Amino acid sequence: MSYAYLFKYIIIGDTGVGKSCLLLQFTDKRFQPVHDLTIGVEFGARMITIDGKQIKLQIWDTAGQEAFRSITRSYYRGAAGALLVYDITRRETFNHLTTWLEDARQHSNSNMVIMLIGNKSDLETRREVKKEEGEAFAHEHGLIFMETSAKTAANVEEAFINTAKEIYEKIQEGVFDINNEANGIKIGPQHSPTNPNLPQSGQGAGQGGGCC
Amino acid sequence: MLNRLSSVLQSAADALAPPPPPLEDLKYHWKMVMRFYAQRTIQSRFPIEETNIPSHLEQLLKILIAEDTSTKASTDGSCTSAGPCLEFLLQHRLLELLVSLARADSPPGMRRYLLGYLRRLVTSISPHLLTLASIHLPLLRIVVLCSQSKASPTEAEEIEYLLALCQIIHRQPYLSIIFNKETKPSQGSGSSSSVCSTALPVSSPTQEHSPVKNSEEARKQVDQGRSSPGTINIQQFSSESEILKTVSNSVTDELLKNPTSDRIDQMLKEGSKRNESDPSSAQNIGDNRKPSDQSLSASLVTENNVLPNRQEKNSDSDGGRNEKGCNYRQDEVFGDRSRTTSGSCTPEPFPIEDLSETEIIEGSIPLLDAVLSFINSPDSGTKLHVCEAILMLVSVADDTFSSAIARTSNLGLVMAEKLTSSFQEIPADIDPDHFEDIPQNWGPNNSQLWLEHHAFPGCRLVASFVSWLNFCDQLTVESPYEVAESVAAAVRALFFEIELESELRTGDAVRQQLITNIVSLSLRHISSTMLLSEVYAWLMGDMTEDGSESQVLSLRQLLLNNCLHSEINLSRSSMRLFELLLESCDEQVLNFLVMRYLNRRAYYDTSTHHDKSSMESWSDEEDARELEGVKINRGEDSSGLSSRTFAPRNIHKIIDSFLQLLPSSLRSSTDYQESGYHQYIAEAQRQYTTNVQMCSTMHWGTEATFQEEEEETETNQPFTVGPFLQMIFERLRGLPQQPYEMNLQLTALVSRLAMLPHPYLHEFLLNPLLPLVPGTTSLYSTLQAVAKEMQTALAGIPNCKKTLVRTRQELLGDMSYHHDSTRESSCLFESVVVLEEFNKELAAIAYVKYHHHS
Repeated sequence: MSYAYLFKYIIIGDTGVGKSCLLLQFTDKRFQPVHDLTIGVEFGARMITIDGKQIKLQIWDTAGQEAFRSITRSYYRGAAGALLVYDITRRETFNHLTTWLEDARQHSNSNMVIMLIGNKSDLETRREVKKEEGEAFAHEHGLIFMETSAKTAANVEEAFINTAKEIYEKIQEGVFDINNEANGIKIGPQHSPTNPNLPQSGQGAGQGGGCC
Repeated sequence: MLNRLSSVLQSAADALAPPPPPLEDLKYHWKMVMRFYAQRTIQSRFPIEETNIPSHLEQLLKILIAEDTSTKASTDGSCTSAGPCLEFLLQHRLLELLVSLARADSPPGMRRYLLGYLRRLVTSISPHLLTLASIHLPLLRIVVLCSQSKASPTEAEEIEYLLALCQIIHRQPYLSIIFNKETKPSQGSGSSSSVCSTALPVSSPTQEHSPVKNSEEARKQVDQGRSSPGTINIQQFSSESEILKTVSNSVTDELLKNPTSDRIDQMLKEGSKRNESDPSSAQNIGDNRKPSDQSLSASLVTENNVLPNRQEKNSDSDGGRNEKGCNYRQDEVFGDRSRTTSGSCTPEPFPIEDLSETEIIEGSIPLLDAVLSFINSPDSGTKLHVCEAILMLVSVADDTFSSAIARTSNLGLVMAEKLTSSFQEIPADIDPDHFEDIPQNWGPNNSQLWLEHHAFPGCRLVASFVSWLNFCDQLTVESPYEVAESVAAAVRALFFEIELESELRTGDAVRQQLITNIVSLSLRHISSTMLLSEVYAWLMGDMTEDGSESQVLSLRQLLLNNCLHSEINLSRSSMRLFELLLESCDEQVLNFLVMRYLNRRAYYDTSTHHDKSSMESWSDEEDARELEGVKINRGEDSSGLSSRTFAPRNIHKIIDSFLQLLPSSLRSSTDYQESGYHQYIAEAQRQYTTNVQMCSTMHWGTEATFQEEEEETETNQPFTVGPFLQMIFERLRGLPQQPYEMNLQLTALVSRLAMLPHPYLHEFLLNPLLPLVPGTTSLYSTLQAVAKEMQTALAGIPNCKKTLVRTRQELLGDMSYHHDSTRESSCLFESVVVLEEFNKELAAIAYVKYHHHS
């Protein structure tokens, strides 16, 4: 439970590119072939280890539909990392990246680390966007880039962890003000309870017979 | 008792040891709640008040609110960070479990308690948290639950819960998208990678074609939230026994701890099968339950080092629970189950609901549907909440939302049906004259005062009808255009066209009078221009109707015929209705009644003139004025110029014509005060000023002149005054024979008409000097004929003047008037007095108009 840092992520991108599947793969290690459209925002969390330090990721998976844009925007603030996802089998999701990026830059803090993700790399036969194009876009806009497959889990761990590494490095470099929660970073509790049973058993005794 | 004792013990414990960190505290209370269900088998059905559940849940709520408050404070409002307690709530889907318990109403009273609990929860936490799927989806399931229960014992709590949600959306319009299912077609997200044999049957996103399908999808979307083929959790179990079964199952599975990956696959398959088969049988659920739990164990085992859940769990069990081990384990399992099915923090799922349970046709806004389902509640408090909630929803400042209401909800239909049914409840034998002074109000104390002073049979039902009418009106006033339009159209179609019109056409005279009074009452009470114009359109007939009357008697003609009905009460009510219509100064109404017949000025006799310039003005004297060059530019509205039509030079001549219309032998007013028309001026002044204001948008102008282009094309059509003026003239001719009340209503109607600031109407009604096409009946000529008839009739009666004076005193004086119907001639005497006063009134109107325009 104890962690050194807590990072907040936001996952953005067009509807149907696989944002929720990426999250599910990362947190649950499973793939759900049919996933309902996200309504509002989904939440996920997982612990990772970087440089021997426990880091907790709190991930906000947003709805891709235009109708939810104002809600999505309200989640940019206070995010340390963003996964900007497109679908390599659908050219238009790549074309919309500029809009997403503008949106993200406008509403987030300037230090937010953005990871560009070309998802569905398992569907090589239906590929519409070349890997080089993704790389070029990322290079041009100063993003990290990876192609992933939420289905086969390829690069999913790496995508989330590499983003965290980048944030971690920025912290080491002193770029992030870790005392400002608006940056999406929180220092872990100094003394996390090692034995959470203690207070419980104390109360449990008092409450034991109360149930019946 | 135990409840209280335990809280005392708890506070004692708090005092001895410092309070634990909020998260631990929260977990503890949650566990205690879960323990109750784990031990359920050995308990009888205690009502919730005798359990500890409320006290634990209250603590839970306190902790959550405290955390939310501190988060808000530390990150200046719109934050997106989740504190540890909120994270626990989200990850372990606490709300989903609570919702299931509410559905199961276990222990008895749990539903009532949770409805209030969740209401307090949503009103206390930051509204922004409603954007989270794991918060709003369970809340929406409760909404659906509310809409399914008819007249339930928890009605009050249900509507309060719904109202609270409506208030939140009203204040935070950006949240409305969450509650608008229209934007969420159930089509799965991933278009390409979603290729899988076990895929859910995906419904078509085109919902509007099939209402049944629509409702099914609707329910699916709300109830399932997100359907995942593999996962089943407690939410689906609607009965307590099922929940218990699950608990024991999960315990067994937990103990077995023997997961294999192929079991997970099997589970996925079974899960998807469940969608097709009937998921309601407990057996089925039990069977599916196992693999699900094993998937849980599987994930826990494989991710042992990664997932915080697992670590936590280990430490818990390592902590060693000896004698309580078993129970504790169950708690833990139960807790874990909810965590795991909902996953280690995953965007996952709600269970698949039993769709056969209900087949309600729903719109895209379940919240509104749920609110509307309470509309027939006999409870006045509920009714008030329903009205408030509806107003909150329609006035949400979000175009997408209001457009969805207008297009997909039953709002208009339900309101119109409610209005109709409350009308039908009015007793048939009620006195139609009781409707005059009912106050406007749909609020809580609606018409209390009025009811106190009007205790006639059925008065409450009348008041109830009026309150719904007022509410429909306010709804159309406060709704955005699209919504108001749909409500107004439904009210017109269902209430006015179907209900009232059929009664008007088929009912007897008494019934027709009642309906006519209801229509008048509606006209008085409705303030929404949109609803009013629907009523006008209904009364006047369709716009396109082009003079050619169809075989079917138009409603307008029917009402005009009723004005001439032998049943005096019906006739009077009908005339009162037309008076109200004139009062409205609605362009369409006036057009249908009079303007379309006068608009070519065809009544004007042009044959007496030879040159065009004189033709265009309207009397010899005015021509003279024009020839003098007083007026250079005709037909101009420039403010400096006075109107020749309304303010002619010969105004005194005109006024005298009216005052002298009745031969002096028949005039009964004695002193100067009474004989003049001045007593009518103030009132005429007031009304005319209002009328000028109301009619200003119609740009009638102030001069009666010919419109040149029309002159040649339509000269052949002979002039007719139209059915409305015909009716008026006919009634006026009957003045000597008609009862006093009837004549009063008639003259009120005519003066209302004469008060309109339209130049043609003005000169046609109020200028006796106007050259008219031979054979044309005018107001003046009609009154002249009546006066002559009265003179003849009274000639033979002795002491005629004396009787007239006495009648006047009886009618207008201090003496209380007793209508003596036995005296045959009393009608006649009364009508002479009426005519005398009416002439003065007309003179006053002419005078007021003159002053206004000069």
